[in-house]
Amino acid sequence: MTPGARIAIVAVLLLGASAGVLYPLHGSLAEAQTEVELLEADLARDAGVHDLLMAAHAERREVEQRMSERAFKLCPNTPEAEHEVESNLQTRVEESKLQSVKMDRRNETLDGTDPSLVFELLVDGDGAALKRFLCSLEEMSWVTRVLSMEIASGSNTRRINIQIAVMLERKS
Amino acid sequence: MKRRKSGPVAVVVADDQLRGAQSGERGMVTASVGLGDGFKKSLRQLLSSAPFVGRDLVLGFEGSAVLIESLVLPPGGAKDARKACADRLKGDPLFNAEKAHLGMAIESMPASDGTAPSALAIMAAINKERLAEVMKACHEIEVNVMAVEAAALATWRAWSGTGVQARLVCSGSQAALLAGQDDKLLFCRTIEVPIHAPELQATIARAASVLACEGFASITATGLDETVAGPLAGELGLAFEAPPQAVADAAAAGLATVGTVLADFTPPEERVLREKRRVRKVSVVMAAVCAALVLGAGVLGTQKIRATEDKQANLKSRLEIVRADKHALEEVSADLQRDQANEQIIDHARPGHRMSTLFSLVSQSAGDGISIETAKVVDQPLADGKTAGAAAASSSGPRRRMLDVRLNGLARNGSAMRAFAEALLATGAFTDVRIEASERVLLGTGIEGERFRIYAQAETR
Repeated sequence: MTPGARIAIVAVLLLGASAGVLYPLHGSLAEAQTEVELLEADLARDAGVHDLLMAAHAERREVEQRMSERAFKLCPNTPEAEHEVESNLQTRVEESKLQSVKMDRRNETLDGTDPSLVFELLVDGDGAALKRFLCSLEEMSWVTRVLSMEIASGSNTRRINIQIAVMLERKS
Repeated sequence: MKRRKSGPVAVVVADDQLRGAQSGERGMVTASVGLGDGFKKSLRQLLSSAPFVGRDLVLGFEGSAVLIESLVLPPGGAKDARKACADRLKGDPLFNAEKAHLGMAIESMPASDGTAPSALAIMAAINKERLAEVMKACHEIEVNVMAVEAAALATWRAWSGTGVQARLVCSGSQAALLAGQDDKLLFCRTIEVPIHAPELQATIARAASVLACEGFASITATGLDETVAGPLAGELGLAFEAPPQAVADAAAAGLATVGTVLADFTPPEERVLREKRRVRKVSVVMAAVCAALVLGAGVLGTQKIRATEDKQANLKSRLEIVRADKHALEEVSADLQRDQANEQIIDHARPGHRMSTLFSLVSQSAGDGISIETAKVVDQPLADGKTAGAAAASSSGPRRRMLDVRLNGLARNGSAMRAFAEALLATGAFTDVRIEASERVLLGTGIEGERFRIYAQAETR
């Protein structure tokens, strides 16, 4: 074998060895670059998320500000809050000199959309006491609505059936 | 760093000494040592005795180990030159085919006087045993033998000349007469030292006949003592000239000068080894270059991969932040929707009236002649032909509602009843007040009265 052929064989072997060493490196580089491209594409797709978040935060703060500035608010939709409303209502009944006969409570969706806590009160009392109770009811900070009021016949003290809806916060 | 350009170290292997020379950028470096301690040791001493560069050697044999002859070949005999040379040495006790390597150079003789140009062979033979001994020593001290030739033939390269020339080169115990034309050596014969005039004269005549010239006007001589040169020139009737450049050792200088080697005696195994060394050297250089390239590419590639991975990590962290933002956006959006829905609930559901006021208006409108037995107020949504939910969804402010008021009672008379109804209407709170039924009844005290049922509507938001 001529020296040229031997040198050529050595060159080919070296070339192969170099390729063998460098090919995995090339593979790793290609893999890393592909992943970088995918990540960049993901980031480009979600580029506006931060701005949207800031805008949503700002809008929420505006809504909260408006809500806090309102004279009336919704009752939290929690058992504790419902119990508190019931106690408050009972207190107002007593303070108005009405005699509570029965008080029922149930959750209902008013007008098909608005969650509410509906109290059905059966009380005895005169017109003045009823007037005081209605005024007291209107002073509550929660949004309330007298759905129906039925005054039975009688002399001075009459039986009154009142349905009061207390608007609840919508659950998220 | 600039690499020094030096040729191989020329080593003349004589019978009793080694002489070395190397041409380099700083001129010719020369040295000589005796062969008293053996060839190997002497060679080491020679190489270390002067600033020789590298381990490449060119060996030139002279003395008893070399035989040089010039033969004029018959016309057409160039083809059988080797056979003619071998025949010439047949029977020689030191240089026969078994004991010596034969080398030769065939030159064409210049044509003269209408004769056809003939071939001339300069034959050199080197004793195999001596050559093997020297090569073994060279291997042992790890020097690379680039070429082996007869030192006498190499002296022709010591300096250049033009035209027909004859040179007398004396070195140690041997002298050689060389003759040629321009750079071409055509005749060489060794002469015993001390030089005897008749032998030299015969040799000069032989050279002249070989070169087909009548004689030489002058001979360039080197290494010849002036005490010897003067009488010798006188006896021969010739002039000895100094070479155009001072050459202390023409044989070593010729070996150290790059030029055509007339007869290379390098053993075949040495040639193979030389080729192998050359292949190895080229392979090592290629491997080194390849390794450097691979290393460079590897380092650059690794750096690139690391940079890409850093970028990847950075992008991943940014993506995590974006994902967190997306998650937060979903939560905030849900909260916002809930808050907006709650705000809408307040807008829709908050009554546009005060029930206490309505109750007061009804109470105040009822005069002395009116006794309300039962009252019923119902607050209900105003559908407007649509479903309540749809109406709620479409409207932006408080939802329109209708208060239905039903009053049953007794009036003192019809006028009082109508006055009551008109008073209700006059409050402005009711959009419609209707007396649905009335009938005269006899009250318990014998007084007649009017039992009535009034229906009133109050639209509100």
